[in-house]
Amino acid sequence: MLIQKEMKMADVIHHDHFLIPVINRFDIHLGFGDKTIDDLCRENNVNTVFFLTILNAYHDHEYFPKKHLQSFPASLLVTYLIRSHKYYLEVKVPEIEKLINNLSDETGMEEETLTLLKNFFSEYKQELIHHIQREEDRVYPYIVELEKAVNSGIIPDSVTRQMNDYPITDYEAEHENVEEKLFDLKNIIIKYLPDTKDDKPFFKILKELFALENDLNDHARIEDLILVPKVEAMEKTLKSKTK
Amino acid sequence: MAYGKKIVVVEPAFLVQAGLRRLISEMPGLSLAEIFDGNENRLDDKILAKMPDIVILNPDIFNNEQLVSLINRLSNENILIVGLAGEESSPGCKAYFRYCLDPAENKYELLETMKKINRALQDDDTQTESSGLTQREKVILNRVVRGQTTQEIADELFLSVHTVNTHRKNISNKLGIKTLSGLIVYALMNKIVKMDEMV
Repeated sequence: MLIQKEMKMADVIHHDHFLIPVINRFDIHLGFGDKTIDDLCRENNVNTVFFLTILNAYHDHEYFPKKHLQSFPASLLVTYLIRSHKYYLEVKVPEIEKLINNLSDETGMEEETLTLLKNFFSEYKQELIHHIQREEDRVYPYIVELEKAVNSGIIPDSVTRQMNDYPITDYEAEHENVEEKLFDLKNIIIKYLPDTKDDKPFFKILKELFALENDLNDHARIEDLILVPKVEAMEKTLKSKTK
Repeated sequence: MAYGKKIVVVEPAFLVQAGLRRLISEMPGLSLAEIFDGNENRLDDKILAKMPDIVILNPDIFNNEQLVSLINRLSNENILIVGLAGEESSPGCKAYFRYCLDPAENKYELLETMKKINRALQDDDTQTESSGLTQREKVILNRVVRGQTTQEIADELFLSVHTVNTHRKNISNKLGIKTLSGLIVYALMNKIVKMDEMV
């Protein structure tokens, strides 16, 4: 399905309900009636082209919005990415943390083992927070400044410096380690969980870990397919101006 | 992160791409890393950057010279190359490939071929795929999770740094655990190290 503006939002969600948290980040909430995507975007002051780009990128993993790339500002994308960070840190991660912390005697596992799992997850959480903070402190502000410079023609030194020292392509390479930890945690539970009286509490934990991994992959794909090419194009424009 | 052996596909036709995507998703232990159309600039570099174990490619989209150079480059990296070639493909093409997937075949025939391909890979490194750790590997894992460096382990066990590194790599591959914290959890859970041994 290629999602288009004249489609009814309700039809789209029936087709792919994983999009619910995504539209929630645009402050568009359930109870759509028969409204089209275009109606809803207008009502909620959302840039329709941008909204469609994000929805399609989540829905179809092969979607690559070449021709739409230039038609919305990068700052919108940054705002969106920050909101999804918030969702991971304030909703998804605490949910999993609660499930892990609530593991108790009924699993029949040694206290020591449970503590290990708890500590491992909290270590993962710290790394994720750290990774997200780096993006929000260093990368995103740079993108916003870069866009201002492209639009105004006034290029501050800070932008020139970061453009030369730490261009967006460098940042693209940095997702790995956090992903590895999440993968290890899944594998430890799937392959190496010690004998338990009751492993059902782990079903839910695993399901949530897979879901989180999926979300983070989608997020990374949006950054790689939409954000990075856009920033690369802006860097190119500015470089040609400063020469 | 992709799980298991990584596959890269080189094929422009969407229907064939979609079919391969489906086929690969049905094989536990194999995962699709990327699909290329075949007309990309510096295709060989792009394929190698994905570090695939298997490349499935349609030979008909290349001329002979391109095909031979691509196959050589990939074979040098120990990548298993599978041809998308059936009866209609240019004759002689099958000669380039140890394994061929024929798009005209039905699902179960294709799955059989995929299984053979998967098995061929396992034979290449039975070492890394078998489950339990050897006694030696347990000793090394114990030291790794206690915080010893590769150099320290090598010195104390009278091994070369290279050997210790090989053991460490094998341990991670066998267990499917890459991070140090993951190894620590595994080692404690399985009593390869005791809590009071940890500093």
